[in-house]
Amino acid sequence: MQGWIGCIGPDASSALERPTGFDRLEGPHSVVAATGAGKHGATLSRMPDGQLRAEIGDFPSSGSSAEISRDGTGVTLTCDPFGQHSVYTAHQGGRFWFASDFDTLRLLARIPLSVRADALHGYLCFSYVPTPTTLAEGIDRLPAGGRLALRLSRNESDVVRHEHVWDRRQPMLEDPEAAVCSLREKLQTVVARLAFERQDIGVYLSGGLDSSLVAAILAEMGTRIHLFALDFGAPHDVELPFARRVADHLNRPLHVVPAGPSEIERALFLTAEAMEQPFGDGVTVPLYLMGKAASDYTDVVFNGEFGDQLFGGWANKPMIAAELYGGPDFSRENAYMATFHRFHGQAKTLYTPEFLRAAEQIDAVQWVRPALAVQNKSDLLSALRIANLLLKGAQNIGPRARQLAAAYCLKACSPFCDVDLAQWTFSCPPDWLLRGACEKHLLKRAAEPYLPAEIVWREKRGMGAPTTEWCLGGLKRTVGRILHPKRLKRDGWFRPEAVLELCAGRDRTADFRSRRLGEKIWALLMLHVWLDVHTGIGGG
Amino acid sequence: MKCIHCSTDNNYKDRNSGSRSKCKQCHHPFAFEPKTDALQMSDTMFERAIKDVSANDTLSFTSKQLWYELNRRLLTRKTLSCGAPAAVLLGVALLHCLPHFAVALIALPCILMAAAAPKKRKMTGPQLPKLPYDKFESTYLQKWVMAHGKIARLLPAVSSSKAAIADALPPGASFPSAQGAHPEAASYSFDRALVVDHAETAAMLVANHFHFENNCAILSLDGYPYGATPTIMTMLARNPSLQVFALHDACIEGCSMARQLRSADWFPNPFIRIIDLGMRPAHILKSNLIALRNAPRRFPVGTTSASITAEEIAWLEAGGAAELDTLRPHKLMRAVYQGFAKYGQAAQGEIDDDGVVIVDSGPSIWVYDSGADVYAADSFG
Repeated sequence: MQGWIGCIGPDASSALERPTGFDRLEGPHSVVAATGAGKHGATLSRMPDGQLRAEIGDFPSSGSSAEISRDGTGVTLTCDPFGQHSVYTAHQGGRFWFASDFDTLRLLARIPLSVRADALHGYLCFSYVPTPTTLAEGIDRLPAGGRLALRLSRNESDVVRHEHVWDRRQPMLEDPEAAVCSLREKLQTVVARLAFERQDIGVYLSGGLDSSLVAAILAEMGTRIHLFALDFGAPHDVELPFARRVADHLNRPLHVVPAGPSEIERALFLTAEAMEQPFGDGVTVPLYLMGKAASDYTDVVFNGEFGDQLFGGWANKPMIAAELYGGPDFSRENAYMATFHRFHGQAKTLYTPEFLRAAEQIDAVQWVRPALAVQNKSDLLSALRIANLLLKGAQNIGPRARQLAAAYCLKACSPFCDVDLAQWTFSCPPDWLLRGACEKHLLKRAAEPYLPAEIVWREKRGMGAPTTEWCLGGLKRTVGRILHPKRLKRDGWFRPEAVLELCAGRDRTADFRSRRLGEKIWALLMLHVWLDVHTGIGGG
Repeated sequence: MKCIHCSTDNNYKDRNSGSRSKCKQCHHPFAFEPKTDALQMSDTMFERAIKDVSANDTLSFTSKQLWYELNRRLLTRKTLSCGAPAAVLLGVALLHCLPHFAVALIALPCILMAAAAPKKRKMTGPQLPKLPYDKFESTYLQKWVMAHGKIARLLPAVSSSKAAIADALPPGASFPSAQGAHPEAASYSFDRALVVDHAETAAMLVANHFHFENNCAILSLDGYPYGATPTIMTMLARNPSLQVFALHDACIEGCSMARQLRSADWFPNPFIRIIDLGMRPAHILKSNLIALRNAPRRFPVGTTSASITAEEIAWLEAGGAAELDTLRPHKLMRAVYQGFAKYGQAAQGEIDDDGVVIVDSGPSIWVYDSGADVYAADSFG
């Protein structure tokens, strides 16, 4: 575990006893502790003005911190705008607790775990637990880019999100050729900074543009890179030939990581253990397997995460189609909810009457509304990109990448998660990013000198894990055991017959793509595995 | 007959005790009286058809799709097996022949039950509808709506929704284009276009979010989406690698549709691929879908495609036809999605003289379901 934890309030020092392996600093009515120092770990310091400070990561693009006031009555918490690092908070025993890691907070603050209905409903809509909730009653999470200032003496708290980071900037750039050159320079600078003086660097290669470009920039810098790609087995290994093509182009060997049903099954519980909150995407376990493979060669892995969110990737296109065909009753929020493809709108089929009653009190759209509403004045693509950055990026992709890498003491470096770079993209006219039907056009132009045209300009395919084939095939027995009707009945959230129908390959909502079925089963599976591992309440 | 509202079983006397046929328990009226109806239609059968065509009330459908669904049920309705009399004879013979009376006593009811159990008729090859569409619309659908109210997922006829939009407009105004859309949306494009022959089909696909799932413009030869069509066509022109998919009925006009899309009004640019997804007679001839029989007529001169077989031409010219509505929405969308994916995978396919690509000239995407998705361009957000 790498991270920090702190507490302010009466007898804080005795409330947070020195945990094994933690360094610790004390102040009046306050204490802060950190562990993992030396290898991407957290640091503690007493500032010249007497404040205590704990932090982890590389600010401002990746990290979280806590600053306790000199008199111990106030604390300021911050986390990065890409959600790579988290801050969890809780009021317990008359004290205020805060930590960079969920389990550390729960265990050291002795918070009994009971599942929050709203967070559970949120997870089922999005496949991640939306901020500011966590799955545990009594524990909250700071939104990405958030800053919380709390004065315990006045019992006041104030959460401010750094919205300005993603504001569309004026004036807009005018010369596209200059922008392409500028983007290349910016990417080189970010990659060089992240790779500073490291010789052995791993790169997760999907075969797509973003990770290939990162690998190519690293290779050009003369870094010794180790390339890793997933093999889902035929016929699902459609991306592997492109990853091989990139490796050949860069003249580097490619480590192919098998991700068939047997490998997935073996890593299922270990992956859930590595996650602070459940993430229900099919790519989660394969990413864990890549981390395991990479840890034999390096302690730093680069990825292409956030390229889509930052540069106007494919996911914006359905939203544009929805705008045009939406008619007078069109709701952008509802259309955005549909892009998650999980259980939103299907509560009546899946939930038990008791859980349904609780879920009906919750408006799931509340979790996307602020992200989409903030930019109403702005252009459409910027609004969608901001929503993608704040929701799909900062609440799912960012934390997931960091947590899964940390399971093998790897530092995850995402060059596209850079505050300056992100701000700069909002000064680009939207049609430089999405040109006609060509997504990420500007990034493709910038990538041209680095990669073969067939990689740069090929149609988006993405890293799709064959969850339907896993759940209905090789993992069928495991799925049946973990989602056993007796356990579902005991937990009381889901109708066992509805889950059985799904697991038998029958989706009552009749999605015409069978992959949607696997995505739903997988989301349920990961939720229950996570509960088994983190709380022991499950019977899997 | 069971009441669809309270599940109470009502015999003929129960439900016809008053002036109007209704449930003895909840007093909800019945739409149909199977004892006197020529097709023995019941409320339960109609309700089951609605549930199946709408995939348990999750998909919108056209009235024709519901009509085909009812016909499918009428054509495959369970019947008392004709093996029953034969089984009785066999049983009697057993009684005489078997030395052990007890064995015969056990065997006889089993044989009788197995032989007399109702059997679902199997459809072999394309069938003709049993209930005419006009009768369905004027009698059965009306009776259902009168007894049970509007069908939630049944789409209004496109002509009437077009009229509804027109009514809402100020006098002299034309149809609105892409109403409610952010103006910037029109400055982008689509990955592909799906052109269908009838507005009803297009409206059904849009109502079921097919455009959203596939980043696909949906248009129809007869004008859908009306006022937004010029905007959509301008957007499509921005994509130099546009793929245009033609989706049509298996009829003479349908089989000429892909060629029609090469005209100046549609996509004359020869670099734009036009892909014929079907349906074609080949998809129907080996299936058990419901087809139609029209008056025989000849293909207009010069409209036959080189890729269409002599057998297909003969079937069409003999009056054979099949509408896309013969498929449930779920089945139709899955077939089109698999057609997209197959084209993306092969990136070629058979190309005929007009530069039209034929995807899967066999019936596989229409009739059989492979179960697994073919990986295609997709959202992983």
